[in-house]
Amino acid sequence: MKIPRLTTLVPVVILVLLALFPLIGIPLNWLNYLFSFFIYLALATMWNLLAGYTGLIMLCPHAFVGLAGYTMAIGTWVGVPFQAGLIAGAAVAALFALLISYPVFRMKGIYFAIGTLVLPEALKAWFSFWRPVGTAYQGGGAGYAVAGVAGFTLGDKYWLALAIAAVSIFVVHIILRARLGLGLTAIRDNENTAASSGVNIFRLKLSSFLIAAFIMGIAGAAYYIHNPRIQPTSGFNISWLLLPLMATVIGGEGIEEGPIIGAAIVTFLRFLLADYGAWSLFIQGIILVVVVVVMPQGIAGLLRQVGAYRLPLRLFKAAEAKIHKT
Amino acid sequence: MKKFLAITLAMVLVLAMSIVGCTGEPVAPTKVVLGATLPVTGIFAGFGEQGWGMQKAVDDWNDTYGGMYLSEWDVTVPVELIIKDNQSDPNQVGPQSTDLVVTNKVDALLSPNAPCDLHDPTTAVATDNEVPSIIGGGPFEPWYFGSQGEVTPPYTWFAGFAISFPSGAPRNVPGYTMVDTWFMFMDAVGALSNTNGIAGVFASSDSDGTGWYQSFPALMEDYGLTVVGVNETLGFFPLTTTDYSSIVTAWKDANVEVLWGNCPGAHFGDLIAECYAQDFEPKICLAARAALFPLDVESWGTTPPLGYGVGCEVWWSPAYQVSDGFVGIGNRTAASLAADWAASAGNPPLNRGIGSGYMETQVMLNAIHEAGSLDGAAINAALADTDLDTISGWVNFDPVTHFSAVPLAFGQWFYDSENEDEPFTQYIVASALSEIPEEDSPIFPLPDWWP
Amino acid sequence: MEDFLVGLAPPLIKGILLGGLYVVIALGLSLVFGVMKLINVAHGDLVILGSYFAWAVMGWLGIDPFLSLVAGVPLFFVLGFFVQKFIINRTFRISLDAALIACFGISIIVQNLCQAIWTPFNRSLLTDYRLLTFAVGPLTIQLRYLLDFIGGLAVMLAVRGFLRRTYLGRAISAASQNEPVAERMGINPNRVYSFAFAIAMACAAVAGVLQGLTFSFSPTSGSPFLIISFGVIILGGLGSMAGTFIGGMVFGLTQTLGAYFSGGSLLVQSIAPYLLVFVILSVRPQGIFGR
Repeated sequence: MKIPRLTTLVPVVILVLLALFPLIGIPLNWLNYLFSFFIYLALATMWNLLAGYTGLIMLCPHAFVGLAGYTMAIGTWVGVPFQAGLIAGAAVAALFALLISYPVFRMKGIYFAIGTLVLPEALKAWFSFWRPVGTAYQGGGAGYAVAGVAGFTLGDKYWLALAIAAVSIFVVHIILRARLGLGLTAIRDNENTAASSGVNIFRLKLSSFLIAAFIMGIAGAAYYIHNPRIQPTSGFNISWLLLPLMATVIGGEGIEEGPIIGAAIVTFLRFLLADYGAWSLFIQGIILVVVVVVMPQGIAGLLRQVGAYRLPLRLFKAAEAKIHKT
Repeated sequence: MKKFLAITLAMVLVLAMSIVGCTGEPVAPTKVVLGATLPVTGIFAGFGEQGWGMQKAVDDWNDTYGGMYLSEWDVTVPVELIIKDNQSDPNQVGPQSTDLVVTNKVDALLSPNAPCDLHDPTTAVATDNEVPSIIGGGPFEPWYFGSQGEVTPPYTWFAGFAISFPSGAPRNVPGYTMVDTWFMFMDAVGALSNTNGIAGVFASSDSDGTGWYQSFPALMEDYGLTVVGVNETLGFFPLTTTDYSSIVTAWKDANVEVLWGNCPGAHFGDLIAECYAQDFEPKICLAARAALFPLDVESWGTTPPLGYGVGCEVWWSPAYQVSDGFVGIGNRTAASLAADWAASAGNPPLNRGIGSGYMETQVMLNAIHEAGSLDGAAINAALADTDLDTISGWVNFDPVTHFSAVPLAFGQWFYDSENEDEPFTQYIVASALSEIPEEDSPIFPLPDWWP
Repeated sequence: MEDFLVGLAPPLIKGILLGGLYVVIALGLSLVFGVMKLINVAHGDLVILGSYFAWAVMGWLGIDPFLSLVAGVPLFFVLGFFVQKFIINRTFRISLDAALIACFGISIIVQNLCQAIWTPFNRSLLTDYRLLTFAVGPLTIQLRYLLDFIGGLAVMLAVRGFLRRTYLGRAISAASQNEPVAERMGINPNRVYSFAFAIAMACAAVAGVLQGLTFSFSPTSGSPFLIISFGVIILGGLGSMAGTFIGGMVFGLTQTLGAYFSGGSLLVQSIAPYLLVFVILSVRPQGIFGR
């Protein structure tokens, strides 16, 4: 029998351990923190896929989050259970991404950033008027409550968020090791060279864009199971852009573990500093600027640089060698 | 990545072991903890000042009784209040409320009198975790119907702003609903005979404004006013609006003399400035929510004083008093609460929300005391039995809707050009209740903007 | 026909005058955009900071907000110079994304600093003349919008004159047109960037006063203006001062005429500008007047 390599085994063990948390009496507050952490992590991982590996500074995560959240919320009003709504929401987000892909990919560099940044604003304006279901008291600027989520416990929400985060990391991991990843990196480094060496730029960009939209959508919709009311000002709130952006940059853009570190820090700051009002965001802003100026590769980059992984790695390798010997 | 995985594995293991290790047996409580998530900063910060009233109620309780006596354990323990700032961001309310429950282990949740987006997640968390909660006023329709009736009324909540309050309003006397107070004012100034009866309505398209726009115009028609452009949703605007010229032009063309609506203060400021610029001055101007807080009214300007005569409902009055004794905790009176607020840091102008914050906390503390326990169900049962004179009126929750109504009056903003620090003061000009005395006679029509 | 024209005149005039405000707000953004190809997402917040500065000086010394600019413009200029020198120039060495993200950081810092210092409540610059109106024939003109237009024109001409007539201005223009060549001619790009950002900040100080006279403001009210400014510079083409001016006018007109022709529909009014930007970007990514 072939012994699985530790690089495969370790993530599985981590995942299993994390999945066991609600069953072994972990204090509920950890589940609450980790829930937010996983949601931010999924968003940041996708943002990293686009910005760090594809070179697309995509500034419309809040469009995907809002659309998916709304789809799920509206679904619960017409009898679609929220579990199905979750998938439907992500699909709508991906569909939206498909619709806008042709115009936005015509925009280069900085124009792409601006083009994507105005989209959520337009959606916010549209959703401030739109009332597909419900009485006159719902819809439009008043938004919708997500119905039928009572009974879905914190543990359930935790598992859902964990699954989303795990899938997002796994997907990026696969992409980076597949042909798609090679093509993406080629595009990021030099679009023209990539094109001349036969990379279908549009299709590659599109596939990563769609994947990101789908996962960001499902992560956003999952958040609205925990915070069961959505309205234009919350669903299309710019904080849905700032969170993954901060997490990725602080953690390390273009580094796989970057978003994990960054999302942990952002979650920590968000809860820790909640008692300090305006100063909380002020401090987060300072941290963001300092990180960008002082350690442009983010914390993960810095850790790699100073060789912080060296000692654990040696132990790791020794363990691996031992296992394979026996 | 490999290296990183190794470290993460180690950390997760340590984390798992450390947090499993520290779960202990339940012991007798050493304190009572109340939690609230408030919009301390951000666009709804005016509502966040209710936290001061909440804290005051907790302090009063501790000072008067030396803490909370819990008969179940026969101990007296101090009461604490934890306030978190949700930055007026509805996205933060749910996780923050959960955090209050699971981290701070609060025994009860309080939610301020504020737009209902900031209530909903708190109520959901309270229901999920079986923590008693009191939700401050706010228009209850979007909230109540927003949950599709699927969430059973989560324990108890207040509604001061009950637009179409269900039958059986407290003590069956007028003066407990928005409708009462507004039409009382209209009666007092003889709106139907002294104006042409043509009304323009405005509301922002957020939950608060939507509830208002859907409910009030019909009531105004019933009262006898002619409301302009409701079918075209004239005056119903999204929060991103900055240019109100088309709305004002339509009102002017329709010869509107009564202006009535609900929106945030900043939006009303731009709206009324546009009215002034177009030389359109109604005889009556009523602005729910916009005219609640003095700083908002001041920001509309003094040359001319656009806030002069603008009216809205009043939640609470420092003059509130019942004939037999104190209404607050211990020796606290409404007047002394207002005096303490005025003397607090920065000598702020009166924010009537402090009374609401105090009342909510007072009711919750009373229920915990009656229950004599920190058991959620016991407190909840005690809340349902509440029959209490509070700093802001008699509280008794309806068994079906879980609502109690609070006394409301109608106030208008008066302008004093001599007073440079606080040029605007709100006086109560119409009240149906003897507990809330009228302080001045109504301003009608609006003071001339164009001398 | 005559009725039609009389009805059309107010939104037409208002659109053009309001466009002036958009021009002032967008000018600073356009300059930074043109010179560094950077979208300074903090620009809207810097404008609000300008409003707060004028408001604070007004409350403190009781002077007119325009007079406060005597101190405000130099102060913002210096502040901008150092922000660029110590923060943004450093991030530029890394990448354009890093600079963009630093701007997001600055935006968060400025917003919350304003909240911490001046509370989150609404303010406006309350001057005696704020709401004056005067009649021109059958039309009523609001002074605050007229001031916006005059301010927009004046600031645009001043910046344009500066870029054309002074050595530093020409260096900035040169750097924005062709950086490598400019560098070979002995122009230090970092220094040029610092001055460009300083001028952009000075524009923000002026824009802050005008916007504070026109609308009320709070610490978080800057971001809508950022999006509007994008629209203006996309319409006008990057870095062109005259283009920005025209862009501002077009943008103001889109808003007011959009509302007029849709029968006062606020949906059209609020969504039209964004769609306009998006459509222009997708059809002609370099902007209408862009090269």
